Amino acid sequence: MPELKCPVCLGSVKIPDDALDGELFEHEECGAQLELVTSNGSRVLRLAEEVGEDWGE
Amino acid sequence: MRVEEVLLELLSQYTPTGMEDRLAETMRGLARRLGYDSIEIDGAGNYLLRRGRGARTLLLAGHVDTVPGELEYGLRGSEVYGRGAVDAKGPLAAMLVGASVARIDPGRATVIVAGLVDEEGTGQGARELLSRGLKVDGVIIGEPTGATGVAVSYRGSLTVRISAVARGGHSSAPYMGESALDKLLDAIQDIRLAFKGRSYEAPTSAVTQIRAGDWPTKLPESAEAIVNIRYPPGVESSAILEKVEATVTLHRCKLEILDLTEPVAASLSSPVVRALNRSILKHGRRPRILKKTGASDMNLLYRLTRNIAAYGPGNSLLAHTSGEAVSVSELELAASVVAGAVEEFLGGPAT
Repeated sequence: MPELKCPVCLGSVKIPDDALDGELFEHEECGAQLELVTSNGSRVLRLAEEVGEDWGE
Repeated sequence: MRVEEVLLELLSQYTPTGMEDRLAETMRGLARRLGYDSIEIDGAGNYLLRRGRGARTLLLAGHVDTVPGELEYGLRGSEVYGRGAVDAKGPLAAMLVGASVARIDPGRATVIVAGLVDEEGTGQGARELLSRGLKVDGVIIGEPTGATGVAVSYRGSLTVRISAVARGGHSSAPYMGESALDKLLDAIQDIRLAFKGRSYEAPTSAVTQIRAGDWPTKLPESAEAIVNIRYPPGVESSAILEKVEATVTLHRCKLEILDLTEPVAASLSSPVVRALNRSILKHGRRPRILKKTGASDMNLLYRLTRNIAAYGPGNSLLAHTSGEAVSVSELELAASVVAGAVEEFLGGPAT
C-alpha cells in the first residue's frame, strides 16, 4: 500500500494498491479531502474540489 | 428488465406515506422477474428483496412512499415522470435493476434491496430495521443525488413546539393586558437570532407554523409555533437544545420536542463511498461529493454501520414538486453504477 504526502499537513496518507486516478480520500489525521491524480508520471494527492451542497430530505 | 420499465411499474401505484401496501403485488412481481432469491414484507411493511446467502452483506435502502399529491405518470420522450419519479422511486428502480445484474458470489455475499416505508414521515421503516438488529457491512441510501453524485453527509434536525399562555386583554390598551402572542414572538425572535445561518455549516432555523388569537380586538390568551432547526455534523444536539430551552424559559413559554434527528457524515475513504466513486470513475465520469442540507433515512441507518452513503438518479430540486421527472439515460447510468458499486463492495463473482 503506497504512502503519499498530504498536500495540506504534509503527513503521510496510505493509498490502496488498486486506487484509481480521480479517487477521493480523506486524510484521517487532518481531515483534508484529497484526490489522487497522476502528474508527470507520478501519483500524487491534491486537494479535492469543494464538496457541493444539495438540498432535499 | 429495462430500468425505465421498472420505474413505470413503481409509479403505477400512488403510494403516499401510509399507503405503501398498494405496491405489494408490484414488488412481488418485480422480485420474480428480476431474479431475486426472495422477497419479505416485514412488520413495518418494508419490502426486502435478497440475492445471495453469504456473510458479507450490502443493504441498498430505497423508499416506496412519496409525499402526497397524485400526479399522472408515464414516459414522455426520453423522460419518466410522475409522483416519486425523483424522490425516490427512480433511485429505487436503479437499485432494483443494478443489484439484480451485479456479478456476485452468492455463497460469500448477500445484497438486500429494501423498499422502506414512511421515509417521508417519521422513518418507521428504517426504525424497524434498527429494532430487528439487521446485520450489514455497508448501506447505500436511495435518494436523488444525480447519477454522478454521492452524498456523504446530512444535517441534523430538531423540531419543537413552543407555546405560551397569558391573561389577555383589550387591544385598545395592550400595555394594560398581557399577550401570549407577544411572549411567543419574543422567544421566536431570539431563536432566529441564535440560529441565523445561511449555509450548510451554520445552524439554521425556520418558523414553519404559527397560531394565535380568536378575535381582532382581543389580546391572545394562547399561542403556539412550530420551529425547525437544522445543524451540521460536529454540532452537538445537546448544545442546540440547551439554547432553545434557555430562550423559551426566559420568555415564560413552554417547549415540546416533536422530533430530534442526529446529523451524519461518512468518510470519503470508507468502503461504500469508495465503491460508488470507483464505479462512477469506471463509467468515465467524475464523482461529485455532496452534503445534503436536509435529512433522510441515512440519519437513522448510520446506526447499523458508519459505512454508509446516499446515491441515486434525479435532480433533488424536483423532489416534492409536481414536476418530478428523470431521464432514461440517467436511470440507465445510475443502474449500471449501482451494479458496479455492488461488485466493488461485495468482491465480484466467484473465481
